Amino acid sequence: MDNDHAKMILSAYRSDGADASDPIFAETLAQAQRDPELARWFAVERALDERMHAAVQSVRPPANLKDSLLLAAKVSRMPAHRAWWARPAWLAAAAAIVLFAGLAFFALKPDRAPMTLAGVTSEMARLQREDRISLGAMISDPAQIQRWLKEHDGPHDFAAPAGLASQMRLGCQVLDINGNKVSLVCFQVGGQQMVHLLVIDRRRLSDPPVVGKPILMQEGELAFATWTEGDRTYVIAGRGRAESIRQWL
Amino acid sequence: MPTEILPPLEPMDFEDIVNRYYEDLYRFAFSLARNRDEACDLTQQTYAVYAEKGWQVRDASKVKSWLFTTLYREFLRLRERGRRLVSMDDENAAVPEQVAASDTERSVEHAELLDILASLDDGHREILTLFYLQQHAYKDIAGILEVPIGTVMSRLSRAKDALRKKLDAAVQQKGITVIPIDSIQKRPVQNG
Repeated sequence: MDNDHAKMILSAYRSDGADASDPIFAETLAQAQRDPELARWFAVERALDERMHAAVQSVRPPANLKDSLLLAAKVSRMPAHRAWWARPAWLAAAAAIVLFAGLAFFALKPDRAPMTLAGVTSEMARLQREDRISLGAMISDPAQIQRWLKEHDGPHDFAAPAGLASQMRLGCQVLDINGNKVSLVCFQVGGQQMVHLLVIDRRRLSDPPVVGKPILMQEGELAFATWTEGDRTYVIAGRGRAESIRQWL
Repeated sequence: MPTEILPPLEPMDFEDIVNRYYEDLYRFAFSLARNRDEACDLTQQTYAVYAEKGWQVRDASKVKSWLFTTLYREFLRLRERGRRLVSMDDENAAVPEQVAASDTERSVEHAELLDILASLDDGHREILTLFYLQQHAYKDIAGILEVPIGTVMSRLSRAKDALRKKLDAAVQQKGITVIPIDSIQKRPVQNG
């Protein structure tokens, strides 16, 4: 093997010796021991590799990234070991049945049913209680969230309230409540606490709150604040007392 | 009210996988995106995909490669769709925001090396970052980048050549002359 070929192979040899047992490197490592020119080149190469490794390792993730990932896990589907009924083939069959039933349902039911505010908050409380909130996209950039919600037919042209605007976003989802699309944006509000912002097309609610008058509500351990602005009705949902949710308005 | 029914959560398994890999995934994402926010999003999205589809990975030893492959695909998908928010003109884009080093000199050297790494072509930067993370053998890198093993070796070799040229240029730009080690050793020691 000429030295150029040996150098190409040795370029892929990790400087920490993790590849020492890989037979592909055995011949070239032996050649480097015999050939002083190749040995010198290899020593310089490994020294550079070490410096570059240290430089790459010096990049540190933001301090809150780990918390965000763990927190997001609580609102994501987890890779559980699925039972036979949860495997793709069965799920596909079940989905086909559900789709057929859904089509039949909508064929008989021409329009979406309007929602009530209490219906939205109790559905949100149920989802939260049963850990069934799933984020469709784990993105924090507001513009990307807006685009994603638009692509998924959710209300997207809105601004987060001042209290939440500066908080880190974990992701978003579009919920389907009685056939109505409701946008959900998940915020991380310090440590591992989450607050959800729901955005609803005001016309889909039979009892939207009065414009400019936020209402605070309590349902179990979940607190809500809701208000209407323009064509949108907003709901903030978070754990704690209703008074504490006021800070996010 | 009809809403999606999801399988139960297993936060302990997920937490372990986050603990093991999130830092290196972020480093790879940061090298690809050259932007902290996008690197966070890519890392988050990778774990989101894992949360949804990770159960398909039956061999636990494959999880690491699976995550890196997923992150890389996610990056390519975003880039192809023109949704990257990275400004290549951003003068801070290539500079790591958080360099962990106890001594300032070393931090400066790391920042300079990362700067040079960030200035390489995408193909060279991607493969070098994966290699310098030291988490993957060349075979795994081939799998992550979806290229033949032989291509990894030749591309890695070319990428290192490109890196060396940039390093040499940077050294010359600073007006520092590189003296071969041999000649230093042969030079007589001058006292006083």
